[in-house]
Amino acid sequence: MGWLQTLSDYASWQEECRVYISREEESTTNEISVVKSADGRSRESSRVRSILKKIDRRVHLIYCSDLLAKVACTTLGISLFFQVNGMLFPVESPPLRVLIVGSMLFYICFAIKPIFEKNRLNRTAGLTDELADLSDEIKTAYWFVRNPMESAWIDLQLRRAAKSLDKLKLEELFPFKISRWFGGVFILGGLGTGLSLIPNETPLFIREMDPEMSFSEIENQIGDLQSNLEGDVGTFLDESDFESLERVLEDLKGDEILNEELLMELQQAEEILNEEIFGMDALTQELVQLSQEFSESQKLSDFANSLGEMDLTSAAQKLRELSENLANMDTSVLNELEQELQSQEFSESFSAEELLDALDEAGTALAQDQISKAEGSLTEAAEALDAMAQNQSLDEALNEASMSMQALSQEISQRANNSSMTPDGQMEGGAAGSASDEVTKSSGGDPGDGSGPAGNSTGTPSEVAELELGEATTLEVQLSLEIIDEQFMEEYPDPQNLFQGASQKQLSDLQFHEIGGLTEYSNASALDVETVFWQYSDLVKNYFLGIRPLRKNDNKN
Amino acid sequence: MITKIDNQIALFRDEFDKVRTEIGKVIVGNEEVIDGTLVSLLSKGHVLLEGIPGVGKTKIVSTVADVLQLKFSRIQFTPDLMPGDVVGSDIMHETDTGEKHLAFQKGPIFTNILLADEINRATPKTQSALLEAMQERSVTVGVTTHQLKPPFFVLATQNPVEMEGTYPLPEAQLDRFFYKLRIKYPESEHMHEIMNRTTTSTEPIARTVLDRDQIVEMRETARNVPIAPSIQDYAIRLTLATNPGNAHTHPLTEKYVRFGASPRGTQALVVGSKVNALVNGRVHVACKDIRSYFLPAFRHRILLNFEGEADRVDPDDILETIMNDILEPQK
Repeated sequence: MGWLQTLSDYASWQEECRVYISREEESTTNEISVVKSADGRSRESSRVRSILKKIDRRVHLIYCSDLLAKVACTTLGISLFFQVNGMLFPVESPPLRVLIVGSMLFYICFAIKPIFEKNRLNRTAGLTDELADLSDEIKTAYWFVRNPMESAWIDLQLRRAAKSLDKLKLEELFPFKISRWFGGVFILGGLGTGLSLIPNETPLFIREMDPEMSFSEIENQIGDLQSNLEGDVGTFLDESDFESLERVLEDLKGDEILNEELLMELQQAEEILNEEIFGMDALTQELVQLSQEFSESQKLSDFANSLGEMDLTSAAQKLRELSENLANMDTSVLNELEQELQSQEFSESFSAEELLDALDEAGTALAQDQISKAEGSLTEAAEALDAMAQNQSLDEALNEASMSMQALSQEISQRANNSSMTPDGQMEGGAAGSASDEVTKSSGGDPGDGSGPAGNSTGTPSEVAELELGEATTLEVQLSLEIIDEQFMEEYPDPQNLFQGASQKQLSDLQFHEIGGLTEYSNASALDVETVFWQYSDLVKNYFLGIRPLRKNDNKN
Repeated sequence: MITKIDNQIALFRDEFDKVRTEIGKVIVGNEEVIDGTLVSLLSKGHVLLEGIPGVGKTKIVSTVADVLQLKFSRIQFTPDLMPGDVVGSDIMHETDTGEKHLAFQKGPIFTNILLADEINRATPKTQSALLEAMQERSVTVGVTTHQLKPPFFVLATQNPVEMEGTYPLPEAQLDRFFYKLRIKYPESEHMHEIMNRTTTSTEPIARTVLDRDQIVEMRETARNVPIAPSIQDYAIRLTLATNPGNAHTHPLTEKYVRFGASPRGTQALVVGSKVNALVNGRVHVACKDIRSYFLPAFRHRILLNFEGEADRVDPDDILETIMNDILEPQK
């Protein structure tokens, strides 16, 4: 039995050894498999990552190409818009280089932007899944690449994802196609080139509006104004006014100021000229008054006539002739002349002072029988008239300059308006409009043209208006009370008995639905929603919504 | 190791296809319902089948039982059915020696596949007898807890039209069901096929193709499928969108839903998606897996508020809107 025991021990020992060896073998195999698995996982991960990076680069290149086409197309479109706009309207377009630099900056910004975005590869993985119909395989794999976990299932998933990525034909999935926007680039480029060949010195829209006025004509006007300024007009003006006008014209010629500023400057210049013209006008009126005063005089009638006709040279000549003949005149004639000259009472505001003083002195000299002094005074008066005659020609020049400036300012104002008009004809800004208004005002519009707003009821109403209003209201109200229509008369032939008659009874039909009671137990069950008739469901719903306790959201609402 | 998993996956697909083919021999159409039932079985879940009378609810369940070599029981739920009729009860037992003692007589619930036919006809008391069995896989009678042998799979049916004399399942009971599958009325082509198969002397019979061990193994395999957190996040966002009063709540939920899906619903969504991924030969869960069983997993877990009830809103409409509005990750 002992050997049997020994045999049994040996067998159990052998079994234990086998188990131990198998365990050891198993653990060794597991260790090897873990090492192999870790190696395999990192290899698959790097494969997935490298392919994704490759795809990402390709996607980015396609994106950049498409973006370039879009930006180029947009830039050309804007440039073409300004080109066409410049042909139609006198609008200043931004320089082409600004447009190109702006577009390039925009392109660079948007081309670089995706490079700095987070989770770029994750997005690429999502895109690949979507395009290759891989059901989130790459997206999942990339997540496990970033967050490695020890699992045979994840290893298998990574391996499958890597295989799927290897199988992908990137050329087919992400093809380098010429963007359709490039077609637009070619078309717009062609259009731009074609338009640049068309001569466009004058904006089309301005020509249609005012065919008589062109840029060259405006330039001519500026030239005329300048020559006027350098000539007689310049000598007539103050130094500061002269400088101001000269500056405006230089600006106009150099085209260095905006329309709004230009209009303001022109307005100022116009005001300067208008002041001078106003002074000349006052002088003219005074001379006319003087001529009327001397018109009854026998000896001074010729002079008065010339003065009345504003022929100042002739008037001066007449005074010289009178001065020369003074010595040959009789005493009675001289006395008469003296009385005529001294009887005139010139107002203090009279601006032709020299002329009046000279005439006054002549009268005084004649009264004192100082003929030679009177002759001298009359000659002085004649000289004063000569000076006035010269000023008269200056007045005409000033008028002409003012008119030119007015026309110029109107033209510029119109151009400014056109440039700020939308296609609907609406004003975009108020600046040009207000400037234009001011120009119109300064040019002396008719103040009583009747285009102002109608008066409101606070003013005293005219008799006619009051009468019409009163009559209409009263009459209508009164008549409406009196009118009895024909149908009523037919029904009640004797209106006098209408109120005394018995009251009429009228029958009415009541429309109703018979709603039966809930006779069965099952019908009364709250579970049976059909017990609420569909036509009453809204009513019931609103009732219960009305009586329910308030919820949090109800307070918010 | 990887080769082993590859083999497991291949085997899983092969066995799933076999079961599907066999059921397809008897049941015409309703592929979604059959797949949903099998996915639920392999996810350790229970299924509530809903459909009008005569569309084959009971037939589907009995066919599933036929193809699986499992113990099958059927309980016809009626208003007078008592809990003891379901779980069993202690009865007086007399031995050969004449000794008398109480012995537990197992009810029909002690099975692998339980068909709870017209479950909403039983009283809530009887319905609740299933609660413990469905969740804990155990039955407690008196002071003794009896374990149910895996796999335990409840297939309940209910008729949505006849509500008279019924007891709608309470929320707690409904939440125990993994999926609620709706059986649609068959189309005209399918009707022809049904007539051809069932109105002749020989009716098709499904073979048994899967045994208990295979099912248990398939269940374990399915649980190993990895899911990326971004995909899991998608499932969670969908769940939160069905619940009112949180940052992810969908506007339609805020208007019509009183209570949304529970975390158990999200579990159902994710586990079902894993099975679906394997069925489709993948070793990862995709967003389309989540979407595939979003409606069956959540439609019975949405409790409408009064406004929703008054406007006759279908939870499926709400869920479809949510599914369309919630964006997938990286899209």
